[in-house]
Amino acid sequence: MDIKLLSPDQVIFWRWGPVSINATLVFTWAIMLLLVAGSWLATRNLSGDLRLSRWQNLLEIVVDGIRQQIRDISQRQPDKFLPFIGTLFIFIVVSNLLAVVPGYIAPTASLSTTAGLAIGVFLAVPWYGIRDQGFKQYLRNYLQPTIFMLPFNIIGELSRTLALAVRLFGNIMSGAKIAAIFLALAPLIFPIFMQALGLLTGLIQAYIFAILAMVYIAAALRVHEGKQLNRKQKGENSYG
Amino acid sequence: MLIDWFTVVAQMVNFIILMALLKHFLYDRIIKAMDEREEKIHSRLLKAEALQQEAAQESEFYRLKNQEIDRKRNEVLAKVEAEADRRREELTLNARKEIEILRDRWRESLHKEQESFLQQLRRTAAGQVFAISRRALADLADSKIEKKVIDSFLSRLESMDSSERQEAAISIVKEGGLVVVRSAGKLSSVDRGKITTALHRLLGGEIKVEYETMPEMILGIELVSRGQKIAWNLEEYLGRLEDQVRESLEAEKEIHGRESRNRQPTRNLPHE
Repeated sequence: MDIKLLSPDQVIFWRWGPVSINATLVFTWAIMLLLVAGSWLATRNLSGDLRLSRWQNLLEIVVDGIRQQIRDISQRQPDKFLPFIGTLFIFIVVSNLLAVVPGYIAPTASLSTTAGLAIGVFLAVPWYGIRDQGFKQYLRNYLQPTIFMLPFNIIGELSRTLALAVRLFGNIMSGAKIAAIFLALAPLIFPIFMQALGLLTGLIQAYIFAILAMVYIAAALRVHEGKQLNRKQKGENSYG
Repeated sequence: MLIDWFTVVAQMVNFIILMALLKHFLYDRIIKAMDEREEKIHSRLLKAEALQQEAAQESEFYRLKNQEIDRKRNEVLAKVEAEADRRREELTLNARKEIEILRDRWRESLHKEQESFLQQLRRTAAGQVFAISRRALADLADSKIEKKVIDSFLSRLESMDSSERQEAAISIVKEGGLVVVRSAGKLSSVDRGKITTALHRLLGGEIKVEYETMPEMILGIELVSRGQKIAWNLEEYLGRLEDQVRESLEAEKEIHGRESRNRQPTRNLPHE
């Protein structure tokens, strides 16, 4: 069994030169449509009253849960990070959980998707870092604690991005593969347990991905904060 | 190849588009609704707090008012009780006084009745005593006693001094010279002669003597002329004695009445 055969990238519906519309993209669009349509339907009649609909209640719990996590990790106002981290979590969760639908292949089982998301995190870290503390200050972080650490810092940045991509891809892909293998070996009942396990894994991986992304961004912010704090304390001491 | 770079780029673009759409359709709207609710809850809490404070103030106000009303009610009650006590004592005192007055009046009338009864009793008793005395003396009166009476009558005539005797004689002569001798029993002729002789001797020989019998005299003898009377009889003694007894009874009654009148205003009222 070739691993390529089970990647949704390989299921191509339409191709024109380098442009190919494969299952990954189609399922991603389907998920996007589902999410946007669902959000639009749920938030159509939002009310600020004390009584609220079930859908609104569910969405509020989800959104508020994500905000609370962001707040816990970053110790900052979460609304700035909410669209990025929240979308990462919701997209990965939905794409993983839909695996119970027959014929569906999770876009996250494609390394292209996870790589794309990991590159997104790789870009978001400097984006938030520079927006927060300025270009120079952010770049200076790579020279900490000494200039000799620069290559290691860069390697660390790249490797964690790679790890992020491969971790998600590996878990989801392996889940799908194991389910397929067990289906071939014992087609009755047993795959149900594997599916249930796959759902749990999918949920956990989505959580891990989003949390790690937030941790990386928060780390970039906190270095700056810690330095500012140190500088302030030193100034106070010298004046005192 | 495991990574299709077109797909990677396409997924990144897809992700950015999804992020923008969700931000618009989900996050912003949900957060706005939550903020609105939070704001509403906060304002309601503030309002509730204000209402609670107001209620507390109101309750404090009414508590104080209640206390004030209680205090005033107690004051009024105490005043009314004191007034009622005072009034009751006053009424009791008045009632006692009235009772005393009524009792005194009753005592007085009782006393008067007693007095008058006693008076009546005394009078009756005295009358009975005299009646019995008269009866007894009448029964006892015999010739011996009559003789003694005649003797004492004559000795009384004898004992008159000369001027008195002369005056009597003149007045008898002026009136016609007739004298009547009255006695309880009929006088014997010897006694009559004796008396006539004595009268002639003492008052002059020209006077005329007549004899009459008066049994109601009981015992005694009297000489009666117009405007003149010389007598010795028991009836007169007894009448004089009866007069004296009546006078002394009247005097006693007068003293009793005065004493009871003096006693009444100084009477003390008994205490509760």
